Amino acid sequence: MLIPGLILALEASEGDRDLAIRLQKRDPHAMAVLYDRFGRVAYSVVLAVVKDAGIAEDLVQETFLRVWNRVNGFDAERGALGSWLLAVARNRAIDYVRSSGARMGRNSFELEEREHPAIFLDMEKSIFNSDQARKIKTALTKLNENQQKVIELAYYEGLSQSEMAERMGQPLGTVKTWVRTALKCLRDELGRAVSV
Amino acid sequence: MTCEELRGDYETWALGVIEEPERGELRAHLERGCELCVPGVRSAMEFVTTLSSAVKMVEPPARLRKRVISLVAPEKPAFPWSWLWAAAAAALLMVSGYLGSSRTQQSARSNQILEIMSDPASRQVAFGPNSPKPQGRVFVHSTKGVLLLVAHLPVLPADKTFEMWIIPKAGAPVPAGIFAAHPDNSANYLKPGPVDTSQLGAVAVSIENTGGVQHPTVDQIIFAAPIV
Repeated sequence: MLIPGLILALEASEGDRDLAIRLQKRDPHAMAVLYDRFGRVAYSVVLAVVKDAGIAEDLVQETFLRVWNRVNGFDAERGALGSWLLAVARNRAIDYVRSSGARMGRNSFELEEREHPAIFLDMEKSIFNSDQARKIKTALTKLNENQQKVIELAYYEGLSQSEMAERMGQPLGTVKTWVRTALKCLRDELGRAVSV
Repeated sequence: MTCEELRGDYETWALGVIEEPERGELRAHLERGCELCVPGVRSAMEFVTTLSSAVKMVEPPARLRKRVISLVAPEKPAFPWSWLWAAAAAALLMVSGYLGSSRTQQSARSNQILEIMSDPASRQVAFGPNSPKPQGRVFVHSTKGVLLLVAHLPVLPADKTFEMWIIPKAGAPVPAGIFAAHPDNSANYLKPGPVDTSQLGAVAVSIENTGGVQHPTVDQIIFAAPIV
């Protein structure tokens, strides 16, 4: 399903630099702007993971607080504010489902490093355009059942490949293959090769 | 491992499914600012973030905006108009003092909440995910205190209040203060101060008479979050 609201919100990157600077200056009104720009997207992502509206509200609140509290480590000139905030939102949700599922062993530090502001530098500010969203949708439908399953387990439940293998009753090597081929398919559809 | 060997793991890292030993190897490359792996994981994270566009868009409740903003923009307390009409000029100065003090206190509390939520040293426990209500999280920090975020609290009669309890692994529950729910039946309650986390067994909330009690009414405990 195409998500016009999501696309619009994330295309509205013009002014992110100024917004980030205002947040760094502890301007409370900037928080309102940040929420108006990304609140709906963040809530949608979190709700998709935790599947409980009340919990989603708490986690979105935590997401914005976390961004507020760490924004001084964010590079306003080179950073992608929306991508960072969405990563924080998903991580909060994944952290919640992991902790509530007694899967505490591999969460906090790992999530911390994946939401470090320094990761979100030099990204395209308009990666969430309608063409990209259409490609994602198309790519997801092209995945086979197992590939779709592993992407869902990873994205919505934060399972490691070992945990997926256990959940699906499949050898780890098989699951790794499904993950890798699923990601490659999605990447190919997006025309977004990892550049190194 | 070499950068070339790790190249295929950038996206599994970004997605959060990477396994050892690749996870540790890639972390080492990132920590030393590897000029190939750092831009590689950035690109992978950008790719993974685009997967969010497959999520069904849902409109959040209007109160969420207020909740988010209120933690960084202190709420203005209701102005005591009726009292103001009866007050003399000297009392107006007292009103000003009251407002300033209240805002300062609210701001300090917000900062305390921010600190405990964002401190990596805080332990956090989710409770109630499998029961209808209440649900939430507890953050425990050895020096900053215990923070409770809870939703789906029951509606209380006027003569009742919520009371939080810090329950040690051995010994009687310790009263940790009373609090009220927001209009949406959620609450954020912070008990500041040091906590012996090594001896902490659980954090619980009970329904008690207004003013609170020194010992919890056992059959009125609405939830207890074990601190594991």
